[in-house]
Parts: sequence; C-alpha cells; structure tokens
Amino acid sequence: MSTSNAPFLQDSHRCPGSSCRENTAVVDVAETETIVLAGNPNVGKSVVFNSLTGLYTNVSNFPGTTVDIPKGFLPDSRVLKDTPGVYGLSKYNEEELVAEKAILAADKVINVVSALSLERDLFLTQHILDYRKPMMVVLNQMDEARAQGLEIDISKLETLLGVPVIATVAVTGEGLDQILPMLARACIGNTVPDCPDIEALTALEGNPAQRLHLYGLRRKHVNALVQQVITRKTGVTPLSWSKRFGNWFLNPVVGLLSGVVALLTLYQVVGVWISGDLVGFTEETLMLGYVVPVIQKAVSAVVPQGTALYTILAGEFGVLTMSLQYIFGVLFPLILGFYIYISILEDCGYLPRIAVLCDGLLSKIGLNGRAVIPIILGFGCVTMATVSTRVLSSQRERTIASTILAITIPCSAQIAVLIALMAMAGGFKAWIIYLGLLTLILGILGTALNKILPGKSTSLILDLPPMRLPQPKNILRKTWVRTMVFLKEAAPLFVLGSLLVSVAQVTGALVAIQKLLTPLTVKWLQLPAEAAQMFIMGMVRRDFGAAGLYYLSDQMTSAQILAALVTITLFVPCIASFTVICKERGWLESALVLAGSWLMAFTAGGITARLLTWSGIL
Amino acid sequence: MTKITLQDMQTGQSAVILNIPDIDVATQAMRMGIAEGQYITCIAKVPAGPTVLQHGGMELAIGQHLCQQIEVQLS
Repeated sequence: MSTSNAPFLQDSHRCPGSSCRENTAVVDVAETETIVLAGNPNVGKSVVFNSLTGLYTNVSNFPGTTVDIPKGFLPDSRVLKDTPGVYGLSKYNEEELVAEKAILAADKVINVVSALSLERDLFLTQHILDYRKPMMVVLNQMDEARAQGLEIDISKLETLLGVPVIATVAVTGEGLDQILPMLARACIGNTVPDCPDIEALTALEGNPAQRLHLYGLRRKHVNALVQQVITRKTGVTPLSWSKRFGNWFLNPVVGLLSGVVALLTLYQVVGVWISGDLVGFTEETLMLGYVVPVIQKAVSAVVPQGTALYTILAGEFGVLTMSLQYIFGVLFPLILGFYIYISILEDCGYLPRIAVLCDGLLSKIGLNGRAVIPIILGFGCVTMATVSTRVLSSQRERTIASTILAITIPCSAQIAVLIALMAMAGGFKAWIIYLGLLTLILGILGTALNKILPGKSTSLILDLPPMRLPQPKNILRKTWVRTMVFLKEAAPLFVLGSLLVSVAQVTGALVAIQKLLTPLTVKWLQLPAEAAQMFIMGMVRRDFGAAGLYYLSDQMTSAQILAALVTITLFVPCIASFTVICKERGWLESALVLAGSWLMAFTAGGITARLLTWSGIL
Repeated sequence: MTKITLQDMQTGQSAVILNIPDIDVATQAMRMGIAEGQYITCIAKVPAGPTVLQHGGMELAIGQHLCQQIEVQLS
C-alpha cells in the first residue's frame, strides 16, 4: 500500500513537541495529536467518522475497498484517521497491517464496537488495550441490540475495560455528540492478566504457537467480560427480516436466480447504457470531437506536425491525446458506473452472499469466495480488477486471480464490440460456443495454476453482515472515493502505456511486430492478413482490437469471426492492465502472463478455427 | 458419542466446538469468537460449498476445506 505507508513513517518518527515548536512557530499540542478510529467491519465505524469529521469514508469493508486511510479533521483541528475494518491486528492481510500501523502510531484510539457482536468485537478492543493505547469505546447499534433482547450494562463495561464507553445508534445520530467530549477522558485501560509489554507483544505476533496461546487468554478474558455485562432477555427472539432474507439468498436456487438477475442488470446498466451510450458520448462527442482537436492544435503550434515528437505527444496514441481521451472519455464513466453497482451490492449485504455461493466453484481453481469481487470488476475493467486482487489473502491467490483476469476475462470495452460481432457470427449459437470455450479455458488455466503453484490457498472465513437497505448518499460518496483512488493510481500508467505505444509507432516497432505476426494470422488462424493489425491494436486497447475486427468482418465467415474473437479475448491484456500487473505482481510474473496469453490465444484460436470449419456448426 | 466435523452438520443442528487442529485456522477463528468449547448453530449449507454458522449475533461462512478440519460434538 504505497499510498498509505508514508504518513505512518512521519507519525512514528515525530520529534518531541518542544524541539519541534522552536522551528515551526505556533503549533498547538492538540493540533499535532492524531486520533485513530478502529473497529471490526460493518460496525458503523464510517458513519462515526463522517459525523466527527464531515468527510466521507467507505461504509463497509467487504473486499473491493481500498486500503487507503481516509483522514479528516475534528472541529478542534486534531487529525482523525479511519482504518480498514479488521477482526484483529494479526497481519493476515494488508488491511490488518495498515490498521495495526495506524493504531501503533496513534495518540488516542476511538474503538467502535457493535452491541450485536460484543464477543467478537471486544477481541480487537482487548488487543488495543494490551498495546496500552489511550482509548475510548463507542458501543454502536444499540437499537438493534435492544430489539434482539440484549441488555448491556454500560457502566460495568466501562469498569471492566478501564476506558470510557459511549452507547450510540450511529445511523440515527443518537449519542454521537458525546464522543468528542468523552475523548478527553480516553485513557490506558485494563490489559489481560500478566500481559507482556508492547515489545514482547509485537514479538509474540511472529510466533504462531505463542500467539495462539495469547489469543486464547484474550478470548477467555473477553468472554468472561461479556458474560458479566450482557443479559439476554429470555423468551424467543424473532428472526429479523434481514436475517430471513439473508439466509434465503444462501439457497442455491434463489442464489443462482438472483445472480442471473444481478448479472443481467449489470450487463444492461454498465454494458449497454454506460459503456455503450454514455462512453459513446464522452469519448466520441466530447473527447474526440472537442478536446483532442484542441490539444492537437495547441501542440502543433509548438511542435511541427509530422515530427516524431508530435506523434508521441499528440498522435493517434499520443501521451496528451490518447491517454486523456481514454482516462476521461472511457475509464471515468465506466469505473464510476461499476463502482456504483458494486457499492450497492456491497452495502445491501448481497455481495458476501454471492461470495459464499461461489466459494465451492472458486476453490477448485485455487481461489475462495472472496475472489468474486475482482472477477466481477474484471468484466468492467481488468486494470481496476487487478488492483482489487489486493483484497485476496495470499500471494498465491493473487497470482491466480490476476492471471485469470488478464487472460480470460473480456473487459466491458471489449464486450461492447463483442456484442456487435456476435450478431454477425451467428447470434445465440456463437455466444454459446464463445462462452463455453472461455469457461473451459478459464477452468483449465485455473486448475493448472492451482496444481503448479506451490503452497495452498486459504479457505473462506467470511462474516455475513445483515441484509439492509443501502443509503444512496453513502453509495455515491463511496463510489466517488473509490473512483478517485483508482484514477489517481491508474492514470499515470495509462500515460506510460500510450508513451510506450507512441514510441513503438515512431520507431517502426509496431509495423515490425505486425509483419512478424502475419504468417501466424494467415496460416494458423486462417484469417485475412490485415487481421494482424487488430492484434497489435488489441494491445493498445482491448476494444480497439475487437473494433479492428469489426471493419474486417464483411470479408470473413462466421467461423473466422468467432475464432478471431476467441483469440482476441485471450490475447494480451491492454497495455494499462499489463503495467498494473507489472506493478502488482512483478516483472517475472508479468512476462509469464504475457507469454502465456500469446500461447493460449493462438493455440485456442487456431483450434477453434479448425474445429468450426471441420464441424460446420456455424 | 462419535466425533464429527462441521462438514457433517445439518442445517438447524447445534454443536460445541471440540478441536481446531490447524494453528492458523484456530487463530483466525479465535478472533471471530469461534474457539474450543463454544456453541454454534448451523444455519445454512451450500451444496459443495461453505457451511454458514450462527454464533452469538453473527453469521459466519466457513469454506468446505476448513469445515472438514473442525471437530464438533452435536448438542
């Protein structure tokens, strides 16, 4: 998490107040104090953060969210940092690492816990208490706890923890105004009996057996504590509608049907409206119609047209033209649309349930249910999806997921052109063959990677939050934050990508590769010679490749079109996603993905061409 | 009483956790409140997929592979 590390370093190496003040004129102590908000996922932490700072952060922490730390200011200008929702500080994933670092560097911690799951949540609380951090506890979701017949003795909880506790209902704002006044009383609370010092504690985390022993003590301590503060009203607690509803989605038939509905909606909204209609407007009308000509004119005033520099700056793949056109004309609306969709699924609690249903299938290819997020995002933009593979628990899973994404998942830009071409290649029958082939290849590739890669993948342990109605305001803010974070990260890579392609164009490397490919295209894939160009274009942008095919399609048979589509889908991911893979997975792995995609694309394409001609299906 | 694993539980059954052999799994489960001696209820089973448990106020999905390793006793 390159973006999140820097601030911590500064924090933990902060110089003592007195020596700093000599250099920096007037700096109030309060201003330099950093407060960190911590808690388990889905406890209402972000609502608390928003109410304290007025800024927005993600509502829940189900995979797909970024690990960046939202930062805001309290009314007295102290810094408040949010951390990702975690179940512990055990370095199991980047989110836990980030949360631990932030907590260790904090001056004070506000720990949000849910009254519904005290037994689970107080485990993290105890961990922070054992780190001897000055802290206070916000006991949230009190209304739901009351509704379920749970009574919590707050003053007893305060005494047992040794830190202030405030009861709140974050969604309605009840109790939130008491947090700040109480923060002044935040203090170091009660550790578990015979708790080692902080250095010994952090060292313990590195030793699995000793850690389990420590966690056992902590668990016992917390369970005993919870026993003393909670009284469960006897009698039946009715199963809430959200729980019934949630369980209903775990039924395979309902799950499958709802999954189909979810995918069709996604297809209509993102595939047709956004990547078709909206992008058509933003890219063609707005960018190509107005912005790009203006840039080209401006550049030509300084650099003469026809020179190599002009081509690099403002040519067909120019750094100033194509990257702008792509980032703002295509990516921005697309990513926005995708994140709105995924945020709605996430906030209503449906996404974790899809993860549960898909777990069985995904575990066959060395992934677990969590991988549904990158895969769904992949149908939007493989670059975005590759970034989101960070939420997977192990390097092994990230390798498998990013390889599958790069090779077998067509992104929405491609899907739009694909739809048009499928109509020419025989419609429904062509779709079935195409989808069947890709699923087969995905299965083979995943199974092979799962066999070859050393180690074993992690199994699913997933907390299912209650189903609830998503709040439009939260969805919009969350979508905005995510889109911005992604663009900030990916935009430089798109610029780099277009620079590489422009240089290749100027130096003649593009034409050379095209010539090199021609025999392969004509002899092996049985396609027209010009088709070689579409493969090259497919490297620049995946949909360019498919679009190139579109212009050739009147000279081709249905079988040829289908074989070409299979090849293009499998063929190298676009240059932006390739740069992201390099960044996330390293050069060696990226080179292997590249080589693998060439090999698979041409092998599968050639075989498809022959099978189709031989069988005469199309 | 013969020992069974989480995987063998049917929807609606309750059990007490006896043993989680894998140290890493035990650590992770411990944080969630699932430890030896705890009572859990199986609320859903996805065919060839995870088992969904209820424990206290929370619901937890556990992958098939893990379920086969966690020993429980029906209550």
